[in-house]
Amino acid sequence: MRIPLPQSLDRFPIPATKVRDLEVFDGPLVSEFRSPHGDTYLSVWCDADDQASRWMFVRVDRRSVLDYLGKRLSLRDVITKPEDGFVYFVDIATDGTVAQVSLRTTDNLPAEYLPTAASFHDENLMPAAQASNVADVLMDGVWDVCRFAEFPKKLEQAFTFLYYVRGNRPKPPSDRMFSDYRWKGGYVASTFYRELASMIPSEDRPVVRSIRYASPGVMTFTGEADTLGSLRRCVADFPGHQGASRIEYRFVQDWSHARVPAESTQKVASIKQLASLLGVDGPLLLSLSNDPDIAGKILSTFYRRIRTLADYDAQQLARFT
Amino acid sequence: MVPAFKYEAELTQLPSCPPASFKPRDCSRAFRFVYDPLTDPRNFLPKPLRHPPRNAGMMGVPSCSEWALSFFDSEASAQERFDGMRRKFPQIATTLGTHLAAGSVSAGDGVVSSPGKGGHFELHEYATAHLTPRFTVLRAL
Repeated sequence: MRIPLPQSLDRFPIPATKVRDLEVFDGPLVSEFRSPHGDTYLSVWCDADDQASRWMFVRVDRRSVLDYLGKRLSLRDVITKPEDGFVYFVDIATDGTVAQVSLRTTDNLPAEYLPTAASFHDENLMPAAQASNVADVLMDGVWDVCRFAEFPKKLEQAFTFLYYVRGNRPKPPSDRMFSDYRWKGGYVASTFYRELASMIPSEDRPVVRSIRYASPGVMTFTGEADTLGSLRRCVADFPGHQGASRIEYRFVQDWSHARVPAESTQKVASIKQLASLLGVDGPLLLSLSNDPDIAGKILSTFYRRIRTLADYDAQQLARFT
Repeated sequence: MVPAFKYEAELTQLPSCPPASFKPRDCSRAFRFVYDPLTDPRNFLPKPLRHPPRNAGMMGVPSCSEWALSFFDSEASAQERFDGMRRKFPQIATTLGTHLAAGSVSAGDGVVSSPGKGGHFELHEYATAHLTPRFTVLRAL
């Protein structure tokens, strides 16, 4: 049985629509909603019985969402310190209809629903892929000019790689870049990525939409949704395999620079292994480049860019939300 | 020939579902949140078929992931995840389960994801899968 709450309203008064799930486990637990006026609401699952699921809805400042995702704010604080000073309890029946709406002030919330003081965001509960063409990056620490130049550039280059090395990727002419490009001379990787990026349709390209520099601040990017999701996943997963991927990367570097001998089968196997650790399609990269030596060089550049973005994350300078 | 999935009609409505990265695999130890006794009809049902589903009405529609069953690769990982969720959602047992069960998943049961950082993985069941006899309730969560 749900905890009895008296009905306060005959309907949920906010025509808010769901923007994204922030935490899920076998379905949503915390989600972000937006009203037609641009107000941000969070829905937090809190109870259920055979008849309905109960959700707490609170109006929050957009910064609060980012602070929650950045673990600067607990879920308890989000719920007990909303913008309006009250919480909607919305019961949604099995058929999706709103069965009941109750309103409580924050000093009168059922204790049974209150998260603990240690209720911080858990990345393990984030959905595997957010099909959103917007990515917010939380900024903190000191950002000198070099960082402002480096971070978006590495992000764009990693995005460009992922845009093309994926299952539902666009067709050539980009393919020729992988097989015909001459990996000799200076700044070859930068040139490779610049030329490849220029082939991405403008509506899919990563673009910096806004920067709010503060502590914490936020940098907002837009770009093709699946690729942004893949990029976010690659960066988030990096700490979990950085030891294994470092070893594989060094091996690829060694044979691609002819420092150690390697058979073609060894090269292919190490590319597939490194690609698998990084969460990208190794066989596709090999078929695009048509040469394991070139595939190894391209994959190594991608590894270094993800490593850089993961370093920003580890130092809490820039964290994807 | 690839066996049919238990919820084939629903999966075919969703893009890339199950994802290509899901493969048949033997998992000799798998842990799952359940209700006691194990014969409780909710225990091996995906979320959209449990009542009430969390994704209904204004909350959205079930994703591909919700048609899969959740497992953990170790008892410690399962308990840690449950404890973390209970800190935020004190009534979480009412929607996920009150006990921890242990058992196995075989390659013949369906396709599974690789365990994530927290040891969590998902199974999209084949139509022939029947997991209940291979699991036992270990203890209360």
